[in-house]
Amino acid sequence: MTWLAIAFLVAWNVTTTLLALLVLVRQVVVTLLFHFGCRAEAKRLPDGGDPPRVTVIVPAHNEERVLQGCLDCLTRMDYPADRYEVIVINDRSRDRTGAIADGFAARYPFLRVIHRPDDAVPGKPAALLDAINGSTSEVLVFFDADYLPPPQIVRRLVAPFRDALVGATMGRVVPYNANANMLTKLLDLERRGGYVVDQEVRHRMALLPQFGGTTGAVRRSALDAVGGWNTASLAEDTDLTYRLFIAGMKVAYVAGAECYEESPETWQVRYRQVKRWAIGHNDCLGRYFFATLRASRQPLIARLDAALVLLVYTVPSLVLLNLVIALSLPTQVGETWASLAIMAVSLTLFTGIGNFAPFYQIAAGCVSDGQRRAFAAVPFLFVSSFTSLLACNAGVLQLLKDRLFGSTTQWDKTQRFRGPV
Amino acid sequence: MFSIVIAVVVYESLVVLAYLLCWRLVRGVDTRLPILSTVGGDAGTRTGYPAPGRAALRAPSLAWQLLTFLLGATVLASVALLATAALASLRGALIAAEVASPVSMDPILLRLALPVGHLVVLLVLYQRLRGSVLFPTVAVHLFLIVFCLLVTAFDPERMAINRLTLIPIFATNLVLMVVTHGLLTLLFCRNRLELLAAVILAAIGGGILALGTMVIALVSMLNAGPLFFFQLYLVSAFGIFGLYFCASSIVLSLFARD
Repeated sequence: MTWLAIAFLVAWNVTTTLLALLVLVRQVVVTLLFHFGCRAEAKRLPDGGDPPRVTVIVPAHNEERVLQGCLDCLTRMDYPADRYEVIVINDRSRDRTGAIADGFAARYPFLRVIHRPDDAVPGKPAALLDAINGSTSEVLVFFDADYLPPPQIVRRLVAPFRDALVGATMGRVVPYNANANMLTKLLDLERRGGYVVDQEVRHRMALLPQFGGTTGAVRRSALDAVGGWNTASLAEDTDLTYRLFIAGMKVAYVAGAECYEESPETWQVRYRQVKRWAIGHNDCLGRYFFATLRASRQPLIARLDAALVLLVYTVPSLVLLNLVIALSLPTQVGETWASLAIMAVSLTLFTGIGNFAPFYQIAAGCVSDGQRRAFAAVPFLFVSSFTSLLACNAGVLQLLKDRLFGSTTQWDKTQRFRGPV
Repeated sequence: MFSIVIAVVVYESLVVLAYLLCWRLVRGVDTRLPILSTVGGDAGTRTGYPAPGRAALRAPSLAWQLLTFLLGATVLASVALLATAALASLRGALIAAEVASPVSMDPILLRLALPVGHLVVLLVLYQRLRGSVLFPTVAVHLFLIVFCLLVTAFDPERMAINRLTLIPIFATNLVLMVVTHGLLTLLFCRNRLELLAAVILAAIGGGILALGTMVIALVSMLNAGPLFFFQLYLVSAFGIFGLYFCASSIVLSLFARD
């Protein structure tokens, strides 16, 4: 190997290591802020008049196992009946999804069903767009068909819209099948870290909480102002989050708006889910990274944090690549202090990003939830992080392949596990 | 080198057993979280304040936080240093046994012993844990075995064992473990009994760190280059920090009451 190539590898390694280090430090700092920072009193919202008219949208593609539970919950919502409607989108289902939805529509006048034809554009984002176009409400609330929303959640998700700058709100997702197996226990832990700590601190520090596409609400006028729903993205929620941010609007995280979901129960399903997120998220990284840094209507710290969050599905690839380079350097240049130092930093980052930073965040989430014993499953996150690492890298490679050959990856529906109907 | 391979494999088998024991304890713990679902009386639309989340972290006094952190760090570092010194004689005995041993092994077989051993352990775990979770690590081990064979075949000098100083590795792991234990103690430790548990855990952590470092030292006599560093990562992640987290999990699932 020539010295030029070695110099290039070292430069690449140092640059990407610094980037990964920033993401690692950010995650630790966020948890330290959660742990030690003061919890500001909730800011009183401006007085408003009547609650806005709300449409709850439930996309459903072959959801006969879970749809009834979700619709049962939505018929018991604590919200003025004359300002509330539910739209179920039966998205080309081959099972009894359409019949179940039609049964509810016959009994509840505020619930209607849109049946998408077989030749409709496939994918959840396209189905959601049909429902958005079919409604006239000022606020759109989204739930996946496996969710079990409690009665007060719509009120809670809608409340922050009294602040005119809020374009979207996001609640907290809680897996109801956390005890099913090791994977669901681990996903439960990851959710605690992500929602209880990361989203909460982003909200508290006036940064950018993520609108997650479900258990969340969007102001229609804000959606229109940023160009509408993006059906081309595999992470349309992240896409919307960043468009709102760049346009100067806010996303509010509502910690008290909790909703049950079903976590994937097999590693294969989880792998496909993370891979899809990695493709969509990295697509957003390409489109919004520099625009986020230039978003002059937002505070500098919020811009920097939002840009770092965009990197979360890229960093695993960078860290893995760094590790491979670091492992090969001593065989190329000998075990010099420089190659050993790069190796040590790369290994520490690999451990730090994969393990220490999320473990600390999860621990804080468990303590905050008053469930310290839930943290006991944490050693097994070592194995979970390997799967996520693989899925993230596969997502990055798939995105590069799509860009290179001009192809697009289709939406991959998450398999459900609730008992047979 | 045969007895060193045996020592390392015994250690790694103990790590696997600790994981399996930990999982048997953890899987029975009910971790479902009841969601906040009070009807009516809602914040936000009625009171003008957004709906609050769960209770804030109850931070103890600064003096208590300092005491727990310093006590844990002192115990952990002291035990790690003392145990390292104590284990040095064991390491010496192992090496002396090597010199006296009439058994000699082919160096290529020795290099392959650990990655192949890992692969076997992973395949057993793959069955036990019922899933593809370990697939990436299986793939990495296969890669390492092929890599090792290729380098041995074409450029054996690259695999020559050099004497490494283990002080930076020990120091890095010690600092990371003190920080990890300290921050977790600050989160979890709220009364004297829990402080006692945290101190015991710190002592266990120190012991694990010393044992793990000894294993790394033994591995450095078997493998060089990328193989050694990958082994270093595995021992650090699973054999030191993984084992520490297993110990803390067992303490939590046995004693913590929420």
